[in-house]
Amino acid sequence: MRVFKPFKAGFPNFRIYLAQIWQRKAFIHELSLAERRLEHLDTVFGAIWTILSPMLMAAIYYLLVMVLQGGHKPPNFLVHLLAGVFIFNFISVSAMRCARSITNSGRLITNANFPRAILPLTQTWTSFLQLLPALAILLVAQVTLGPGLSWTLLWAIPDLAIIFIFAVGFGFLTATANVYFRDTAAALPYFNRVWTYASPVLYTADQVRNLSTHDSWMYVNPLFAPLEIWSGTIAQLQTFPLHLWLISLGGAVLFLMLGTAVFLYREGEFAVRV
Amino acid sequence: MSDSPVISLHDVSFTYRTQISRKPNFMEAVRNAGRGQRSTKLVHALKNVTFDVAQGEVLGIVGANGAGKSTLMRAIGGIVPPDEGEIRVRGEISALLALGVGFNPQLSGRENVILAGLATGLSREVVEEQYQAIVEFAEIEEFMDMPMRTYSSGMYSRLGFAVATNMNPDILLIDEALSTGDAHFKEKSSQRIKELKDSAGAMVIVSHSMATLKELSNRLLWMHKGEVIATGEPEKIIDAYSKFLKVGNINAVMEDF
Ligand SMILES: Nc1ncnc2c1ncn2[C@@H]1O[C@H](COP(=O)(O)OP(=O)(O)OP(=O)(O)O)[C@@H](O)[C@H]1O
Ligand SMILES: [Mg+2]
Repeated sequence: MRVFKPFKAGFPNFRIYLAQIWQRKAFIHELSLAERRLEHLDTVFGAIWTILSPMLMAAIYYLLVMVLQGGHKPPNFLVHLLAGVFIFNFISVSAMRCARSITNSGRLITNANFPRAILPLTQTWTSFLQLLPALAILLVAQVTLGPGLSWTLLWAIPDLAIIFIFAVGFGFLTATANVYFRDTAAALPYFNRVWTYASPVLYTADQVRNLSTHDSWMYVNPLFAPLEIWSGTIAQLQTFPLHLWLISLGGAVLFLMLGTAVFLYREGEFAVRV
Repeated sequence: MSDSPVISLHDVSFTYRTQISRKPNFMEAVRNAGRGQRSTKLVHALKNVTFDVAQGEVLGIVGANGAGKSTLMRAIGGIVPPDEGEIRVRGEISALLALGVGFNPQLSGRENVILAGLATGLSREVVEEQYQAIVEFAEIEEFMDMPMRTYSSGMYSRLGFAVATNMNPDILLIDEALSTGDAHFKEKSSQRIKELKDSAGAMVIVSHSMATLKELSNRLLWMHKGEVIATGEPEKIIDAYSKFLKVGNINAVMEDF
């Protein structure tokens, strides 16, 4: 027996909701594949195209840093830069696709009943699949220009999982925000640009640490620690202390919880807002 | 349990709140902050609607354009939450509202059908099993790999109807899907609804075709401007409604109802 009552900006039963999403994981993958086919992302040229744009970005950043720092750059800087730019590209693309996931599905949302969360989840998944060829390039760069293969590299996998968790949470936030403020999607690229500058992409975490004695404020940015681990692992084969992993995971889980809460709190109203 | 209604609406009201400004955006929200109530237009689409649908019953709904029929279906399908009142529904709902399939008109019919099935929570195996039956019923096999945006409206509704009726729903909600099919498909879908009458829990059909409603439904409900005007025997309601359509005045019709 299902009971539909007035919408009081409340939460659905979380366990049931989660089960409903899990039941639809095949849907998420299938819609993702279908949309990728549609955008030709599944073809070789499509894949090249999606990698080309972050690569160009990385090239520009590289020149920029070379000019500004007068050739003094950290070791394996190009690999560090590529690693950071690819991840940021994934997060921006995901945030962007998620932002439009609800507002672009007006007909679907007003005519079918399903847990709305599967729409932004699909977009994060699509963006993740899109990241995979970029990771292949990164691996080639790591071997040819960087420190080369090592078991230490495996630490990048749990870190990627943390970044994925963050992206899901962030995606829920942008998806909800765009329902109420349609200019969210338009503002996102600027927002993401600033966020890139505030993260260890154009510079390394160590460079920031050398600037002052009080360096913990940099972890206010929830992406700082995951990116520090990510590029440190890949470009320097560094390993990181437990507390840094906990900061990374904590920030990502916080974003996931925040995003999920905001999304679920408002979801019941989407049908009359799109 | 089985003699309690499958669908039960109690005093349900629903209001659309549409902001007059084109699309809500942040800059505007900032500019309007502190100016009090934003300019929203209210449409009372459902007003204190109360009715039950029993096990095995087919309820037809008639009403002029904008009467609130589609809104009512959305409320039963759990798509829009009521502002007041309560809706109780027993079983799985398959809603064919405004041609339910169509996740993305750019995608092929095949992809849309599979996605529609998966979205309702069916497993991949079940969906693939149903797929063949759906295509056979819709009789548009050669178009299944074409993007749905290239479909004629009849093909659209054929596929939508086939999907909705093949997902083994307990409750079937059909909003005007029958009206765009050709005579052959209309006949076929009427047949199908009669078959489903026995297996499905309940059905609610919205249609502008009196003949369809007379043929299929056990009971009719007439809505006007969000209110239930009358419910009862199909013949009787159709007579009253047809008279209203000619006269255009509810009171005149209801006097001798
Ligand atoms: N998304 C919406 N936003 C605002 N108002 C809406 C929306 N959808 C419907 N309405 C309004 O609600 C009222 C009922 O609409 P509804 O679609 O339920 O009518 P209907 O009975 O299905 O009509 P029809 O026979 O034309 O399909 C109408 O006045 C319509 O303007
Ligand atoms: Mg309608």
